[in-house]
Formats: sequence, C-alpha cells, structure tokens
Amino acid sequence: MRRTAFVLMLVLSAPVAIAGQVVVNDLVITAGVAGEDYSGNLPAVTIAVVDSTQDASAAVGEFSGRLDAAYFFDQSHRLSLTVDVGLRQFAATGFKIRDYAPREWVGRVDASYSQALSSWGSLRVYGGYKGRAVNDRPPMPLFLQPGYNQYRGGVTLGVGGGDVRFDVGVRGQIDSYRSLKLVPQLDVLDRESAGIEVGIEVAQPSTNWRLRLFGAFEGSRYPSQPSFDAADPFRRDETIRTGAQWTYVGGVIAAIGLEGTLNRSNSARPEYNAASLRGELTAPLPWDMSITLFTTVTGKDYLLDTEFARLVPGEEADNASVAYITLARPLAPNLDGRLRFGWTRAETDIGNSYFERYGVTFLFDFRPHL
Amino acid sequence: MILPIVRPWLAPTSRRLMLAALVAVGLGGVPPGALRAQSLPTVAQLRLEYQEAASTLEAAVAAFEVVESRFNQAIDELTVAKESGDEGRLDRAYASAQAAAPAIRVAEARVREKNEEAEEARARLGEGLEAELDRLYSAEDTVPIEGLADLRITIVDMENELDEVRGSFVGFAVQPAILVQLRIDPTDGPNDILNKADLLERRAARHTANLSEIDGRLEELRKRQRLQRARNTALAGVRRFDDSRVPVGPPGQGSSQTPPGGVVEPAETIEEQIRGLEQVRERLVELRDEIIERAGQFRVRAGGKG
Repeated sequence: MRRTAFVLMLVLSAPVAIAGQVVVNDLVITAGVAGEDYSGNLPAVTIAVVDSTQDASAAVGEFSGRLDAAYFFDQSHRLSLTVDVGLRQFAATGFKIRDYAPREWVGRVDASYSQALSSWGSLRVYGGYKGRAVNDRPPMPLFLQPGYNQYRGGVTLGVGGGDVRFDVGVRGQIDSYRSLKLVPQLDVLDRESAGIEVGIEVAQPSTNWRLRLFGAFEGSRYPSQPSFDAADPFRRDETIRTGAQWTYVGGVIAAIGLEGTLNRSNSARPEYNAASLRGELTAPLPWDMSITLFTTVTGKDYLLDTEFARLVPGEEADNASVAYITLARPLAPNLDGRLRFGWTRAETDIGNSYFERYGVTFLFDFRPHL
Repeated sequence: MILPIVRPWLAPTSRRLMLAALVAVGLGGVPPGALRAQSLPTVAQLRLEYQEAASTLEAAVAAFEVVESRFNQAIDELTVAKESGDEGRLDRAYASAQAAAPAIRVAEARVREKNEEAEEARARLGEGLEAELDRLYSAEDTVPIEGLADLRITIVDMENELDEVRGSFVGFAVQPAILVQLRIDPTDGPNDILNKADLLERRAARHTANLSEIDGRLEELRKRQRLQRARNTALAGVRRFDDSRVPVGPPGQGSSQTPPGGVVEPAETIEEQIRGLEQVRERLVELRDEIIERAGQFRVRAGGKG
C-alpha cells in the first residue's frame, strides 16, 4: 500500500521535461537601411524648432534585437518574457535651417505570468516598460515621436473553455515624457491612466478563426496639461472604446479589427469620437517568400472646432492612415532578408494641415537560435 | 518496460545481526580501532541504506512503467484515431502522446539515477562487510575458546552475505514492453520464432507509419512557425519605433489588439508544439529501432536471415 502510494506520488509529481526550463521561442537580430521622404505642414506642439520646408528626406540605418522566451514552472504555470531593443540613426536633409542627424533609442521589456485555473479559466498578470529617447529631434515634417518612459501592468482573467471564452481585465499605465529645457511643453503629454476591459471570444477551431468583441472604459489624468477651467485646472479624460477583432490562423494569418472611441474630457479641446479600422495579413508566396500587410485607417471628429492648429501629430490629427507591406525571404538557414514599404498620412481640417511619410527599408534578420 | 537483471534483494539479516551483536559482546572488550569505527557507518546501517536505495529504485521503476504504459496507450490511440479519420480524436491522441513523451524521459533519468545510487550503496555495503570480516578474522586469535564456535558461524554467514552482495548486480535494462512480452520460449520451434519476428515487424511497421504522420505534422507546424515568425518580425519592426501609432487617444495608449492566439496566452505556442512532437518522434524512433533489432535477432535464432 505504502509502495503504491509512493509510486502514485512519483507519477503525479513527475514533471514534463519542459518544466523548469527556459524555452527561447524566438531570438532575432535585425540590421538594415532605409530611405524615407517626408512632406507636409502639420504643426507640432511638442517640437520647439520650426522650419519652413515642406519636404525633407533621410537615409536611415537601423539595428535592433528581439527576444521572446518563456519559463515553465510546470504545465499550467509559465512566465513569458519579451525584450525588444532598437537603434535608428537618421541623416536628414532638405531643411532650410540646417541638416539634422536624429538618433532614436528604444527599449521594451514585457513580462507576463500565466496560470491555468483548473479547467474553467486562466489568469494572466503582466507588466512592462517601454523607454524611448531621441537625440537632435528635427522639426516637421520629419516627425519622430518624442522620448518617454512608459510603465504598464494589468491582470486578465479568462473564463470558459472550448468555443466561447469571456475575459475581464484591469490595467494601469504611466507615461512620462522626457521634457527638455527648450521643449518644456512635452510635459503636457505626461499621463496616468487606469481602465477595465471585458471581452467575449468565440473560437471555431475547425475553421481556425476566432472573433472577439470587447468594451473598455479608461480614465486618464494629465497632471501637467491645463484644462483652461479654473475650477478643475488639469485635464482629465474618460474614454470608452468598443470594437471587434476577427482573427484567422491557418495557411495564412489574418486579422481585421474595428474600434470605436468616445473621448470626453474636462477640457473641451480634446473631446472627440473616432473610428479605426485595422487589418493584418501574412501569407506565404512562391520561392519561400512571405508577405505581411499592415494597415490602419482612422477617422476622427472633434466636438469643438478650434480656429487654430496646436496639434500633436500622432495624437490629434483628424484622421490618419498607416500602411506597411513587408516581403520576406530566407537567404540562409539563419538569415532572412526583408523588404518593407511604408506609408503614413495624417491630416486635419484646420488649414489643410497634413503630414506624409514614405519609406523603403531593406533589412536582414539573423536568428542565432533556430 | 524495465527489466531487473537480478533481483536486488538480500536474504533476511535479522539473525545475522543478532549473531554479530552477540559476538561483539562475547569478545569481551573494545576491539582495536573501535573508536575510529564509531564515526563510520556500521554494517547494519549500510544494510539499511542499501535496502532503502533498492526500494526507491523499485518505486522509480514502477513509476516508469506507468508513464511508459501511458505513452504506449497514446501511440495505440494515435493509430486508431488515424484509421477512424476523426481529426479531433487524432488531435487529442497527439496531445496525450506529447504529454507522455517528456514524462518518460524524466522517469527514465530517475531510474538511471536511482540505479546508480543503489549500486553505490551496494558497493559501500560490500566494503563494510569486508572490513567487518577483517575485524572478525583478527578476533579469532583473541576470542575466548567458548565463543570461538559462534564467531566462526558468524564469519561463514558474513562471507556468504558478502558473496551475495558482490553477486547481486542492481542493474535494470530499459526495454520496450513489446520486447518483454515477446520472448523466445525454450519450447519454441523455428516457425514459432519466425511468427514472433513477424509480429514484431508488424509493430515496427505501425510505428513507421505513425512516424511519417508525425513528420507530416512537424512539417506543417514548421511552415506555420515560419509564417508566424515572419508576421511577428514584420509587425515588431513597424511598432518598435512607434511608426504605426494612430491619432486615436493620447500618446502611448494601449489598444485592444487581440493576439492571434487569443487574449489570454495560448496553452501552447507553435514552438512548444514542435518541441513536444519532436520528443514523441524521438521516443517512437527508439522504440521502432529496438523492435526491428529484436526481430532481426529472432530471425537469426530461427536460422533465417537477420
């Protein structure tokens, strides 16, 4: 009897070989060069220098790395880690005042702990940091997001199994922009937010697609941004987002997402309604090639019209479109080549302001760990 | 299946223990070097250590047999599910095999580890018995005449025990269950042996068919992995420098982008599925090769070509 119990204990406690191990899902080191062209007259509140040119161009060198790994405590507990770092050096020309040589440093670390909760659900706790720094930030139209530190974390609980799953999550985020002596206005973008999101996901394993409907509420405060209301001096927003995403994973990987946003604030200027449509497609092509399309189209409607444009590109343009096409092909067992075409356009009704960017990038992706 | 080459067990020792205790009392004094011996384990302690190690080994072997049986059942279910054409059933069979394959490796490693520990305990007991015998031999000259007969009985018994310990090889050979079931019986004629070889080869052929099915699945998964990696790399490249940020919401605001695996992390990534399937494949190749080798041996024994 004792022996049977001991054997049973051994069998039950026998971990699978993967337990206690670190598994590297992907490790990619990327290097590449790009040629980019920028045009437009969209003013930016976060950029101190102004140049009268409407066209600029840049040669860009890029170096980056990404690690995606997981540590398995056992079959139902895991810790996932993603580390992504990058450096981009621009040599920009076409400005009236001088040529610029901006340099971007970015780094992101995301960790999440997942645990299966018996057969009825799963729990995910996550946290992450993203940092960004820009040296010699140029004037428009060569728009580069300013440097910031971003901290985020949250908990998601998934309930149900099989074809229908419900999820509920809470999350919080702090964005702290790196203001400079000459650009103190970057502080107005500092933000603290917290929100809750609920979703229902319907999966069809036989046809490889899943559909998720979601709704989210988020509260934000901008501790350095005035609301122009003496009784409530700093901007506070309340945002409702709702939408759907359909995903297919099979011979191709496809995703289509539609999202609506209602942003209300104690400051009248940033109150708006917006809709965004996003599409992603990755498909194999002949000669071992693959194509990835990424596109986002956004329309935005402000409740209060302003007569002057004090805009933050990337945030408060009226509408924007982003499209990227990437062609990839293996060149050697550990080496892929990638050719990427990118296009971005953001515009506003005020003074027909717009910003446009075209780019062609050639990249090598090296995977030391296949 | 793990086969004990020789049963690693000793004869009951309580009688010998009592005798040894009596002799030690009868010797009428503290033997030379006894103080030093106090810090060393006694023969009784060494016997207990060996018994414990052998018992743990037996338990590890039994645990291995359970996981091996689970793996074999999953492989059998794989064959049946494939023949039934039920994709869901086939997926479940693959999941069972993937869950069982790594556990076999762990159980096998544990058996090896416990085997070594038992072997070390056996060696230590042998050395302990030798040392004790040396002490008893030297006591023959000093023991009073009335205790000499008992002492010699003890010596003979301990010599026998030492022979047993030296002869008991605590080894376990890992063998597939099918090889244990199909052995050549002394009464088997050439035709019986050839029939058994046929049976083994049919089993090997089934494993070969399962292997090509697994290879097909692996190829499919690797294609999906390439596609998934192409997607992840392309999208990470666009998002890394905030090039894809759209003018909705404040800068840095997260959006509800559901990853392809779902909002909560998937139970298994493609990399994990590939790894799991490779472990099943590895185990199945070993199993098939051992069966083919045994079938060849049977044919040689039957007088045919190997």
